[in-house]
Amino acid sequence: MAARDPDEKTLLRAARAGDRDAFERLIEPYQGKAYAFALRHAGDPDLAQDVCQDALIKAYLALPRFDGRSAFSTWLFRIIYTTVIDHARARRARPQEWPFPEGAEPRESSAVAVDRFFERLRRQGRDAWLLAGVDRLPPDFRSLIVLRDLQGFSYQEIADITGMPVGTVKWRLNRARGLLRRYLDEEGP
Amino acid sequence: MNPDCQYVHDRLAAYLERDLPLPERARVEAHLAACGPCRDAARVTGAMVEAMGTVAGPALPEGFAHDLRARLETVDAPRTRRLGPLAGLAGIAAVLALALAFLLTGPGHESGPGPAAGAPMQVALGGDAVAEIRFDSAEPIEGVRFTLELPAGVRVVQNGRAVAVSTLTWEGSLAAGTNVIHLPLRGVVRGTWTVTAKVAKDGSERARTVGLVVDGA
Repeated sequence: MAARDPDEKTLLRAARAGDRDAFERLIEPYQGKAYAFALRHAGDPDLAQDVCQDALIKAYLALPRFDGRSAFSTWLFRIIYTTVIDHARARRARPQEWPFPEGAEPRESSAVAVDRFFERLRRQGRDAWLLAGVDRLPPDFRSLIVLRDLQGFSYQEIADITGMPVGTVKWRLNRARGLLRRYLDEEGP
Repeated sequence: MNPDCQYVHDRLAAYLERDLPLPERARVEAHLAACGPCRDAARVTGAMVEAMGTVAGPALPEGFAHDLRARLETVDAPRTRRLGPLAGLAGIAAVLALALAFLLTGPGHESGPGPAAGAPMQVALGGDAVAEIRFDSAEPIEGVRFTLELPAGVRVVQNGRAVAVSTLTWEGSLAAGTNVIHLPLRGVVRGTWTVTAKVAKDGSERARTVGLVVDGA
């Protein structure tokens, strides 16, 4: 929990004053998650690195506006989230709202599908199988699954990061998981 | 899907995370005890979420830290300034203020409201719109007082959130040159609203308005 941690406070003060070493130490614990989030949206590692670093530089320049009312990590991830999503949208041919996917309602699972699912969970390559399903999700659903299920943010933190009400986060996450179940059922291991 | 199954599916995430009020939890559990497909869905979802929590994150690319440092070296240090409670909003307003520079430097500094900046924008209730203001300023002007007046049906959006404030005032300066300003707004009450921005210096004041029609979602 950032701003209340004395070490982080010291680093924040130094980074605000232009100490780049302090900024690098400040963001070090979060770089991995930031890159992972960018990678799930960008797909390509080089592009993900560029977008992730764009976000971190924005954060560096915006440090004077961090007022300590939220954890530094939440503030930082709000910038990362916004930058990654804006970049993903900009890469589309034209601006558009990401549609709520058709058939997002979870299907009732058959016993066979359940057995197959648990067998896949035990197989080698399980992580790649899960991530392939995540990558098929619409970007807004994918963001929630990454933030909650892969990265372990709380509902409140996700609400702060995305700007959605907590209730909306919960509702969309539920839908996202239902869709992910369907995709995983369709994906090979 | 029948209504009872839908009820359970709508609450599956909350149920699995023990985030349901007791009466809803009891109803979900009663249904799961009787419905095999929903029980399967709950088992699969629970296992899926648990497995996702163990997926290893990707390693940072080689040279990530070096590249980031190189990029950091190309930007100036953050501009440190004293921030008040409305600092973020003042930042937005300061940008808007630039849009008014040309009014001060244009012919005549007489008081009174200026013209509306074109046709009103349309936005759905709860939707966002960005007021775009273009202007030219002949020269930089220091020591200007800015005021942004927001009607009850419109809020400024800051970091994705609609901030409830009716008036913002601050001191600032105007830059020279052509500027395009984007003021993020959200319609929160149906109606036709007017956002007013004022700029004042040395007893002169000018206003510019932006119309916003907030209608059904």
